[in-house]
Amino acid sequence: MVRHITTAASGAEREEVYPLPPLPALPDLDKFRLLSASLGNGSEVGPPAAEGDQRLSHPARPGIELPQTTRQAIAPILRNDEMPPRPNVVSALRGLSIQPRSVARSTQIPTPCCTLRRYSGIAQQPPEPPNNEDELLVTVTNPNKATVPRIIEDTARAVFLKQGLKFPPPVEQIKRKTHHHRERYDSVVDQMTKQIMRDGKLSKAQRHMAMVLNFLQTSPPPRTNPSKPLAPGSPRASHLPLDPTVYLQVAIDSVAPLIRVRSLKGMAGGGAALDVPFPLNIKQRRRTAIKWVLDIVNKKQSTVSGREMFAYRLSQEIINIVQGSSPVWTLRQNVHKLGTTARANLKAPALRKKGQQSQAF
Amino acid sequence: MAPLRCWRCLPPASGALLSIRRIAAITTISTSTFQPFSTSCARNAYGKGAGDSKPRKGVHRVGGKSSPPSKKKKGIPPRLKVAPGDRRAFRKRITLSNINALPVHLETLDSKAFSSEQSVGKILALGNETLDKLRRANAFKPTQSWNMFRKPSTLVRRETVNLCSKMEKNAQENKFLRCIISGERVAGKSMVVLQALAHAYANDWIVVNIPDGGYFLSVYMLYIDSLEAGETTDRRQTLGYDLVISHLDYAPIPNSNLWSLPTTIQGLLRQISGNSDLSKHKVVKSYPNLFPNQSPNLTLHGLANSGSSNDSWAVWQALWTELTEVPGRPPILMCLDGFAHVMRMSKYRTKQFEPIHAHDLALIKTFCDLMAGKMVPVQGGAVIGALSMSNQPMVKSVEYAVQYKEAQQVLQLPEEELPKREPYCREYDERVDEVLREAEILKVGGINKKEARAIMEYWAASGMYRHKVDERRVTETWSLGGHGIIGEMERASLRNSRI
Repeated sequence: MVRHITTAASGAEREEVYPLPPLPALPDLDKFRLLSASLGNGSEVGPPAAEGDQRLSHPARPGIELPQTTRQAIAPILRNDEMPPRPNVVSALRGLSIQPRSVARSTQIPTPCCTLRRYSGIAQQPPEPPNNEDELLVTVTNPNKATVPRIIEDTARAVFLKQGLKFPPPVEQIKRKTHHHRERYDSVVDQMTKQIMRDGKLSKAQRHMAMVLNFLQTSPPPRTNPSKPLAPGSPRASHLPLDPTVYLQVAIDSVAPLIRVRSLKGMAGGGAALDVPFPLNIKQRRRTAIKWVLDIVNKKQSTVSGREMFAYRLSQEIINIVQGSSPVWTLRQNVHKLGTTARANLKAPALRKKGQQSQAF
Repeated sequence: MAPLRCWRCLPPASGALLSIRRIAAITTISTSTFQPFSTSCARNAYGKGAGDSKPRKGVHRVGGKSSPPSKKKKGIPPRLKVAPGDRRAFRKRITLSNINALPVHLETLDSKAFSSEQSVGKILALGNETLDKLRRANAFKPTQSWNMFRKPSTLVRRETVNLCSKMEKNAQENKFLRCIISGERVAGKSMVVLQALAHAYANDWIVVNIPDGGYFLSVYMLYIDSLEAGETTDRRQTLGYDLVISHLDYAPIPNSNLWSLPTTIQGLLRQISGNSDLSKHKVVKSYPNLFPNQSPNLTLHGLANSGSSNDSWAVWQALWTELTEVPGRPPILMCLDGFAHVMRMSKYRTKQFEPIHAHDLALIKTFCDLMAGKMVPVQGGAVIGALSMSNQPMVKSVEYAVQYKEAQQVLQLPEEELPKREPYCREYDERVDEVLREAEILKVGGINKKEARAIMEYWAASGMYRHKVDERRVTETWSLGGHGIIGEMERASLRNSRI
């Protein structure tokens, strides 16, 4: 019989305790549906839960037991198996902060989740923090290498449910890996290479990019600035130089703006222009950030000579971004400030009449 | 009135050494002080623009109102002042360690490692002492990947063992090895030279290394002058190039057709005395020109460090005589990278402005005599000349000699299939032919898959290569690298993408 234990493994039975990771991995939707169907609506897939059982057992992983409190927390929100409403960018902009994102990061749940909860109308009550740490421990029998990551993932999913989310927060779909030669490089590396390119000389741009990555690889670990937080989920600063691609991605994503503000001519009435914030997708956000970085690099005076001249300046700027001393941070902040000011214009009657709002969002 | 020109800056009497650096200094002074006619005053009187006809403040004004002094523009950051030489120092810097890389525990190089068959396919770390000596001999190049790993380590390949075991065998039999290293671009020719140097240092040989141009920092000021004149120095990277492009001071050697490079030779003397334990060898012969009252306790170390740059050639000759003609000295290794550059006419000129052949430079003559077999040190040793494919001048004789020797010694073709000279070509140089006639050739090609696996596992263990190293990955990289050309393999895998 499987026992639920609260401390480290003890006694004759060899059982191991896996504490939860601090930020749970994002589960995919299919597995989540499987779990929710088996837990809430009577099992369609997998074996049914036993009547009167105090603990829920995972259908696909019989070794897992979920505590009673978790079941109570997730039971009401599992009745209605429907997709969440589409994320509303108007509300996302309202949550947009002029201050650095330290406040947003301090909460347990990412910002889109807050938005979902606030506007979906399903989970009105704020989630209670887990009062008993022991409930987050899962007892497993016969763990092996293959099952352990999945077990952690499933447990993380259970925690999402307990926190009042019906669905996991939206995640960007991971692109399937291909062997097409045009997609052999990382997306950020590829995008930056193309933006560095002048006069169609891709090979030269690739050479610059490779030298930049080598500079990042051989430079000492950056000292991050707490007032300029990096993109959520980025690895520790000491781990960055060993993976220069991630280094570059963290730098670019951290200073990429969420929106751009378009000035719509004559929309404010009387010929005056109306500033309207528009959301950007990930590629557009990165493009803007790379453009800002390259503008600064091109204006900078070079202190070295030789073929590594440009690559050195660019890599120094990327290191500056991660260390929080680059002027790109100010550019991003200014755009966000402008967006916060201009978000009231989203309700402008002229905009609604023209259908601009629906076009934008 | 006192003369404006300092008497010490005047050139010495004809026949004495005339340094180019000194000429530059004199020229600078004379141009700035003695200009018979100047238009700068008139040009500065008015602004640059076509419509700007107002006289500037402080300039003599004939009439009319004076304009207010122009305000300084605000908001423009001051231009960074880069100290002279900093840019070049960045370009030429050699970093031998990367603190981000993980340390890998490897065997350290010892005196037998590079010549032993068991070492093929192993990665060996260079010991601290060898490292210091190699650094002093400027054996490392900025284009090599030393800055990626925690500690300098090198792959022992088949060619290394072939060369080093030959060196060892020759030294035991008091014979002299004459070797040219050829091979494709980024195949690792300079690395094989470095390994030969490391082997020689580990076996206490006397080593003379003529490396890439970074060795000659003594010509630093002239580099800056030429940069300001708009010239590019990027193509001067190899030493061979440095030796013959005429920016080192040079002087005729009396009673001979040869020319001396005093600063260069003095630097090499310091390199030899710093890296070898010469103090335990006493000077046997007498040199009245150098030492009128020669002490019987004079050691080779004292000889190498004596004198100024003016008599460096005499000191070099004395030291060379002691090292090559007196039995009981350690074997000698002389290496020269960028070998083809010294096999043609140099950019130096005689007084009559006729070009000087590179073989008439005394230092190069020493190298050529060793390579041609005209000079054979009694205790044996080796002379190695490596070609450089990325910066190679077209020298017909060198090209033919390399082709011929590769066909003869590497491919072992029959006599009738060996390449022939172009019958109507006039560019062959007899002096070069004579030097290369007896030399052996060592072709450095691609590494095999076993060696490729060893080096890729080393990359992975250092944390610089983030893939699983298995048979498939090794084969893939080996194929992408042109069947094991190690520089191309690095580009395909270690260095993120192309460089």
